[in-house]
Amino acid sequence: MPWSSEEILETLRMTEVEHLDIRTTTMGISLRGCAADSLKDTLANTYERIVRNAEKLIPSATRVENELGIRIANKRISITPAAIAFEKFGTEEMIRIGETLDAAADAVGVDFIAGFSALVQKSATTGDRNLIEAIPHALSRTKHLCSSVNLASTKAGMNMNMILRMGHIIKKTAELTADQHGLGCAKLVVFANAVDDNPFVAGAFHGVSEGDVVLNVGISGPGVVLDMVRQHPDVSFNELYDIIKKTSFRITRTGELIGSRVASLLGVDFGIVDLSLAPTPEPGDSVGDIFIAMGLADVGAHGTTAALAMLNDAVKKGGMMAARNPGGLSGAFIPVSEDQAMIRAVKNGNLTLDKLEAMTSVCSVGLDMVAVPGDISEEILSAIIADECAIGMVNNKTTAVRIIPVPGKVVGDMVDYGGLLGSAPIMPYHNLSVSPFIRRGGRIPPPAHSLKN
Amino acid sequence: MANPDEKLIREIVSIINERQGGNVSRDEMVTIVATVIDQLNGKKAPRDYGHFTPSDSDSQSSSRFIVSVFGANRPGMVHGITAILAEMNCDILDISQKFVENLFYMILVVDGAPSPHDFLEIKNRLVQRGEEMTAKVYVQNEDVFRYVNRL
Repeated sequence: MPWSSEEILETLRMTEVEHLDIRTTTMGISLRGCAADSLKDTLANTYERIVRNAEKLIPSATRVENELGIRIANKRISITPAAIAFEKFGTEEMIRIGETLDAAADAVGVDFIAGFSALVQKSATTGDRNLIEAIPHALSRTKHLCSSVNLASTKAGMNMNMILRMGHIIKKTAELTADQHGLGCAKLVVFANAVDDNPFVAGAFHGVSEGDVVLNVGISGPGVVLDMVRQHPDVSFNELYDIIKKTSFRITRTGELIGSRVASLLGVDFGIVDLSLAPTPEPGDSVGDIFIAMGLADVGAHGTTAALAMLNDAVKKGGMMAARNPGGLSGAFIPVSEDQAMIRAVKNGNLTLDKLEAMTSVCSVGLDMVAVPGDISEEILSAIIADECAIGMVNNKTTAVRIIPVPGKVVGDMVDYGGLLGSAPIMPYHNLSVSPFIRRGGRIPPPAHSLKN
Repeated sequence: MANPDEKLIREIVSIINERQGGNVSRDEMVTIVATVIDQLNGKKAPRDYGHFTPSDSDSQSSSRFIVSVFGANRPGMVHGITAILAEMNCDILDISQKFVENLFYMILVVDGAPSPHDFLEIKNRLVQRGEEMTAKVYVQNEDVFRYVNRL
């Protein structure tokens, strides 16, 4: 069947007018077997493994971008959670490993390498603890390194000891990167139900059941969905849902095409397509604006949670048929500093942490790129994390917290991180004591419905 | 653009006519057709037939690309683009051209397989020519349109 000009113009509109791009092609590399008896050999093995596998990532992705005329915004690497790969090493050595990972990322030209991570949802090993203590130093001494810690899961419950510790680690990371407004915290995520094949940084890591090397793709495209919603101001929810589904299908198809081509050029397995709407600070590339286009006065209005729930599900259903292997986080992201409409809503006083928390119960992630005053206590940070973990654990979904206690800043200030990280308004929180609660320690057991067998 | 089967038949008939000068018996025809089909299959993988691409060849690029040209109308727009394609030995499979008010737009489906130049060279030349004519030229592999619009 010949091409119709409608098909061609429609596609061009997506790629040229509505900012359709592929957010990330992320190469997952297993670092199992890189640990040697000496630190020196371990660093050499690790550097060699990453550079050997990823040196063609950027040339291959660039070639596919050129052929297809679709931009791939980011090329990144994820690795086996470092605490598992380098279990035997102490905190100082973990920091050196972090620096080596950074150097390898620099050598192959990717902007981020993620997986300086530990999975401690039930309990922590010595290696896990050593890695977690290394996080603030490693993030303050590196440029490309990203870190994540899984603190809870539906099967294991919530590790309250580590949730308490992460409040301290986040605060310390902010302090060590105070000259950059706590930028280190933008590269540190804590999770409940973290997924093994998430291509999105900062929370990406190459799960323990993955193969040697895999290429995963994260789609984007809030601008395309926004445009479609704006074109249909009066249709019913059923119709709107269907329109978003169809749009998501098209976006995901481009992700599928790009992933299969890049993986084929690299000669590695094509893993998953993550069907996530990820906003950027560019005007028009906003998830928040989609809620406004649906008919709400601002993000944070009553109805925002319902709007997000519908958007999240429609994106998934549309994308599921378009990708052979959908995976990762798959849903909608709501990172405050990276979304013009959300930044505006916080400044207007319409969007609060409480509303964001409610929204995280129906979207694919959690409190993301949220800035709070630098003098917030470690215990309150831990309690914010505990609430998010509870939502994830009970609802059998991924939740995350990427929060930045910005040193020296108070509510109403703005901090600019530049580029994709955007600019963050400092948000108020409930400054009420949580100390006796959060310091109980131990573990909150998993919910009854975790016993499925 | 013709139906791919029709395109294949035309291709076969033209090859036979070239070889035999138009005088072919039924038996000769049967033998030659079989040979030509074998040759075509050997020379061109099925992926050359665009949207009939089998799903297991998704990792291979099509040799076809789509050139879209947008700009204010002025004389020589069609020639400006097609001259480059001819010079670079690309095969134009389909062309459509329209005006909306004074906005000119043209869509060409092109097969780059016969060209000795690689895709990027052809793309850069076309985009550059577009700039000289103050038109915007997009050159994208056909697969994007296939993936986005068709199952």
